[in-house]
Amino acid sequence: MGSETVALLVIVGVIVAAIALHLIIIAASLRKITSTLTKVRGGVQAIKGQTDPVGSVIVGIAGDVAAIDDDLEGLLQIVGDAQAAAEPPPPPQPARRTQPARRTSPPPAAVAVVEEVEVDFDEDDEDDDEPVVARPSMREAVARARAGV
Amino acid sequence: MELLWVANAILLLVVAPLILLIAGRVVKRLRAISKLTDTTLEHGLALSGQLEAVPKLLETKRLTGAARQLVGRYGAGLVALL
Repeated sequence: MGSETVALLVIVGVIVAAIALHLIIIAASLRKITSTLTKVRGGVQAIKGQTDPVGSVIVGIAGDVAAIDDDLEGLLQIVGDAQAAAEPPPPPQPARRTQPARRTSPPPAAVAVVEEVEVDFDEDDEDDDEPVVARPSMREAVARARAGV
Repeated sequence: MELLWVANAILLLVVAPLILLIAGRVVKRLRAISKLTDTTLEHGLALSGQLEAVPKLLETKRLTGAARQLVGRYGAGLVALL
């Protein structure tokens, strides 16, 4: 066997060894990738199982919320109509003492005359001079709330 | 004999580097794919953690159904009052 043959065998052996080494590395990488992809597949299936009812549930919630909105709109209309139909309350009249009904018995000898004196308990309160601020109606409040004001 | 030396030279100078180059590229791509799968698994786990609140949607649906019924009852009561 000549030296050139030996050199050929050595070179071929080195090439085969390099190819084998790379194949081993490739196999290890593929094994790791397979393991990871198996975990990913399990995770994706779990996610699918978790999110399966989301569509129907969201549709149901949206329907309920829409119905609640409609009902509240109807209530708002009813309350607004009632509010408009209600008469403003009459201003408070100063109380007057009515004459007691005459009795058959003789009147008392002395009748005490009582005068009503209005006493302002809030003398320091100066709100009477301030203008009265009109409270917003329910419809206005709802409109403001919806506008985010 | 000279042909064998030429073949040796070709094997040593052309074939071996070519094999190393191609195998190196394959290994490089495989490592990139491995990194991508690791990242995918990490984000999948994070996504699965964020989906823990999904079962609460069932409770939300139950509550909105109850609220719908309560609004109906409230409206009926209010209409009866007015």
